[in-house]
Amino acid sequence: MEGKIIVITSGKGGVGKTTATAALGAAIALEGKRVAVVDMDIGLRNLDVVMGLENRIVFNVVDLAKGRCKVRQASIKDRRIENLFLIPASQSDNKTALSTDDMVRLCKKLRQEFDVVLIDCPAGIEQGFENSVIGADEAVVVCTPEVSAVRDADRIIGLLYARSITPKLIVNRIVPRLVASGDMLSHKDVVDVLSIELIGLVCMDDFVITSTNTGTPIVLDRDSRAGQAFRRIAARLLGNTEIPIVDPLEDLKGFWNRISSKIGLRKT
Amino acid sequence: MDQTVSLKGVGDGLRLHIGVPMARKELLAEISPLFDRIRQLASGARITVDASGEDPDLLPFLRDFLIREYEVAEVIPMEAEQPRRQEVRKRQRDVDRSWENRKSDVLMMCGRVRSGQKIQAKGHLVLMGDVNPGGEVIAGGDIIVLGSLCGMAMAGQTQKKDAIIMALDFRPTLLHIGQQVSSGPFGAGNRSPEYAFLREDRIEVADYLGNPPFGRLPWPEFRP
Repeated sequence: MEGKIIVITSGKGGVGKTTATAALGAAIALEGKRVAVVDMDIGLRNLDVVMGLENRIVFNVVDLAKGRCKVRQASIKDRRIENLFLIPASQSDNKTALSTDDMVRLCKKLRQEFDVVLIDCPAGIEQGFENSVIGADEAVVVCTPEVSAVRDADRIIGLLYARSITPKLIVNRIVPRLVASGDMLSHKDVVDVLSIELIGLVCMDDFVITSTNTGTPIVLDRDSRAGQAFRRIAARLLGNTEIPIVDPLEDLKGFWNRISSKIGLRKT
Repeated sequence: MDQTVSLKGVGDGLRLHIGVPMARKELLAEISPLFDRIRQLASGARITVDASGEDPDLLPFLRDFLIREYEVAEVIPMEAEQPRRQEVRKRQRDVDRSWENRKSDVLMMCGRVRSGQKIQAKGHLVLMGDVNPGGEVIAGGDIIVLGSLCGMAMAGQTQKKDAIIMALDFRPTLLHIGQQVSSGPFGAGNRSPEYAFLREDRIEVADYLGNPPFGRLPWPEFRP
């Protein structure tokens, strides 16, 4: 059976594409699938750092696409999670090092080796984006609740539709406290504008910062809300549509209700 | 043949033209052959009499004669017909101006205009859907968005000053009407239908409901 290729993109930089790719890759691998995460941010490699595999890179995606090595040689096995592999970007080339034809060939090879291939798309809509989406079957758009991120995500969604890919949406870095006070867009506003299928909501979480710095998968942390959210998203990506999407605001309400009932402001 | 008296088919009846006043007997002598020839047609027809000279008894006389002899339906004077013909003519003019005979150049679209996408219409543009921030809608005439307008809208390109931009949820980032540009802020922001128009070369925004732009027109008019 051929694997499926999912591109993770956003348009705007710094919204959490790389973190999401690493987390989803780990979560899908934990579900028992053979997963490759491919860093397409050629020249600005950092998925390897986020995954804590930076000192094991020998070959990279450019070598693989140009046929200078085999898939097995370029894919780096994760230290903790079985079935999870990283294909790192090249740090010395730039985005034009690969052509779309190279990518189509590469995607064909990867499909045969893995159940799921996650492509970490670079920011922007230039060659790097073209290369990332050319071979993809599905797309996940990561967006933060900011006006600028929403606009770029909107543009990306238009471009994905033009390539006959129906994208799914992750709203990342929600701060429930700010949403409740009206200082941040709610995920409903974002979904209203983008109007694509929502596949998960991820809260702002300090664990993400520590885990990306130390290179440990956040999904292994049972206390991390973001990590657990990514595990649910991974399950939904694999076709388990019955898992409900948790509204982070509901949690907040629950929390305040509990506090206020405890100190006697509210009767149970 | 002497053309002092003639009979002509007009509309749904016949018109009897009497060129010169003449005695009753002579008149009957002139008329009878005409009606004899079309006895079948004359039966049940409406006869309009267009007679010169002022003879108040002529019409009753002719009416008696024609109804008796030829069983015509009615005999009416020319004057009576005049207002009706005028009325008909007026309506004809209205018909020429009415929408039924006009074709309008309207581009009707549905869906969502996303950031970076652009819809351009030569004439009016109707969009059943939203315009997202960063999206652009451009029209030679009016722009009507049946949804949220959050992007840029250019109406009346390039010289049409009476163009309007209307949206059910009016929150544009930038508006052009004709040669004028405005970047807001627009409207009350309460998600109500509003529209923008030009008043003295300035773009203004008003509520669409309660004060519609064409509410004072006496009847529906074609929008060129």
